[in-house]
Amino acid sequence: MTRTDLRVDMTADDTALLRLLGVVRRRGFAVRTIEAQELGECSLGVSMTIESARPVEVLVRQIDRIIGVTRVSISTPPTPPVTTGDPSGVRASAVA
Amino acid sequence: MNGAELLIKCLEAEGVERIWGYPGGAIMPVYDALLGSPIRHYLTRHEQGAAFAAQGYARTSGRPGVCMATSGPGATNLVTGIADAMMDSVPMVAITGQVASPVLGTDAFQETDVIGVTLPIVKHSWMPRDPRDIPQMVREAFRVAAEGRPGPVLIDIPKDVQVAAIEAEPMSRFDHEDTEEIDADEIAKAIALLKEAQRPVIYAGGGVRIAAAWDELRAFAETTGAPVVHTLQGLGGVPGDHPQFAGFLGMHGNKAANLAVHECDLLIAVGARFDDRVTGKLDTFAPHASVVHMDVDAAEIGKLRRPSAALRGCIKRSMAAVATPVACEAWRGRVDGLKVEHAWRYDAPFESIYAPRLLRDLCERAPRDSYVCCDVGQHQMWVAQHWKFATPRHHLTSGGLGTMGFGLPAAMGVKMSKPDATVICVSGDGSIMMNIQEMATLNRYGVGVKLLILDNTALGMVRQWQELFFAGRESEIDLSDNPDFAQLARAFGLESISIERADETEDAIDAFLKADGPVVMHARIDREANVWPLVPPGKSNADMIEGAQPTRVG
Repeated sequence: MTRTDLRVDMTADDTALLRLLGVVRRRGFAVRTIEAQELGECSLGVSMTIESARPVEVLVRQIDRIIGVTRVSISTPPTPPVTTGDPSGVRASAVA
Repeated sequence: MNGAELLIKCLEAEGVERIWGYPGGAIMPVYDALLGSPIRHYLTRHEQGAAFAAQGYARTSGRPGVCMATSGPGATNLVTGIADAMMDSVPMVAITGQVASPVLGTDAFQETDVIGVTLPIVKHSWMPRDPRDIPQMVREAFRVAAEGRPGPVLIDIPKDVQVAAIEAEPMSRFDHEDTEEIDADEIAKAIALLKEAQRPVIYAGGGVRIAAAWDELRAFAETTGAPVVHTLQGLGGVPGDHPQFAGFLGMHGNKAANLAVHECDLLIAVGARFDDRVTGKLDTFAPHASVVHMDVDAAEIGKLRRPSAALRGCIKRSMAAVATPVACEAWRGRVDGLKVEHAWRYDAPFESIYAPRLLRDLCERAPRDSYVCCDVGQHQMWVAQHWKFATPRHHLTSGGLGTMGFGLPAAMGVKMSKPDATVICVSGDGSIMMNIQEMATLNRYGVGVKLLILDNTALGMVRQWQELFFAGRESEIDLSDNPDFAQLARAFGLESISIERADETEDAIDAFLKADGPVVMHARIDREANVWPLVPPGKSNADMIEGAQPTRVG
């Protein structure tokens, strides 16, 4: 299992975050942290830490094809997972 | 003008000529606006039938098919058809009525969050909150459905938006032209791989259908000299009788095709996605081969197999860019030998109807450009194995989702949009019951679909797997209490023919093909017949198993 930090910029609408999180989950990645911020009136910047044994490069291409995603990048290189006392692995959650 | 009338004008501006649907409370203003529109609406007898009929139009034309339903159960009844379109990359615009904005989220009558329900199975979806949003959303919907890798989209329109007054004009129709260049470095890598190859194979999939690239595929094959294998969705990419066609590959593919891929040293994937039904055990698929992968969807490249050359973009341009002669005569000889060694046999000696032979005979006597729609199960695999399709758009089959009930409404959609074409639906006694109500739609509109029901009084593919992999323990596969399908067809106003013996098939095929209107041929087949060969689950394609073949007589 590898943890990766992703940065996604997307057009803000009612379902933008749902679409993003849905793709991450369906493609076999767990969201460990997520933070979303408004970037002006119509955009959303999302920073997230995700974890999976699958290659993140494939997920990046799958996120990139979500309608409304304007940019997706790996903000830090993949790292092994951090062991925490929380079995769910969820450290923080702040969804704008 | 109100929002519903504006919606219809926007659909007209997109060139929509046909809609398949079913009215209900939350979409009534749109149905009212349809009156007087040149768009022809076909009332199906179930919303799922509407979705698959729209797919029939879309799969054969390459243009988005449009289906429509009301909120709640109407919308959820579209869901299987939408998911099916997503899996097979079929452009479709689904329009649903929604409860009025003030009661959204209050569990109102027939309220379902269809945007939420369909998030994983659409390319995108929209809910206009103001009628002024409609022109832009409709234009975007048609663009997204058709652009790049096609797929379904959804527009969910609250009733208050439909009835709100608005003065606006449709936006101009979107015409997409893909001019994106293919990466020159990847082209150079692919050409180098082709020049080095001794045993190349072209593995062509549904992308050939989507891109209408069968002429380019044939030219590419003939330039390289490489044998061609097809996925279920790619069949017809090169003609079935082309000397370089090595067959249908995968779980129920030809042994020659699977062995050719197993032995090849270069696999050129053209619009194919390394689906598990194709690859068998993934790490044993084409184990000696480098891969050149051509696909319009960047997310498919490297998803399951890392390529040595990745050509993202239009497959027509990719094939043209890398077409290079390959010195592979000895390899062609080897594959030709496999084709002879593992050719289909049709010489069943028994009196009962042998489904592969019936399908081969029907194929030989039907017009070459017939459209063939399948349901899902054993008959679907027999059609794939034994029919020779004019192009991939002449073969309509639910490949990714594998939806029983797909065939009849899809065939209906094809015949409604191509009234002069011969359109044949091949179904099974399990599948046909999933959307049998659409016989009423055939009768209502006089749609001359030819429906062949291969009846083995069981869920044949499940029975086959229970026989082979569950120690023969049959569980819930018995359909021996089926209705009399011929009588049922007549009750719906359709002509029907019933046959039980092999010596009845010739006359029956004649009558079937000569019928002007909708006709059903009900053919009893052996309950115990299996689809061979078969790659057992979790095994390599090289480990195909074959069961008892017909014994030659005379």
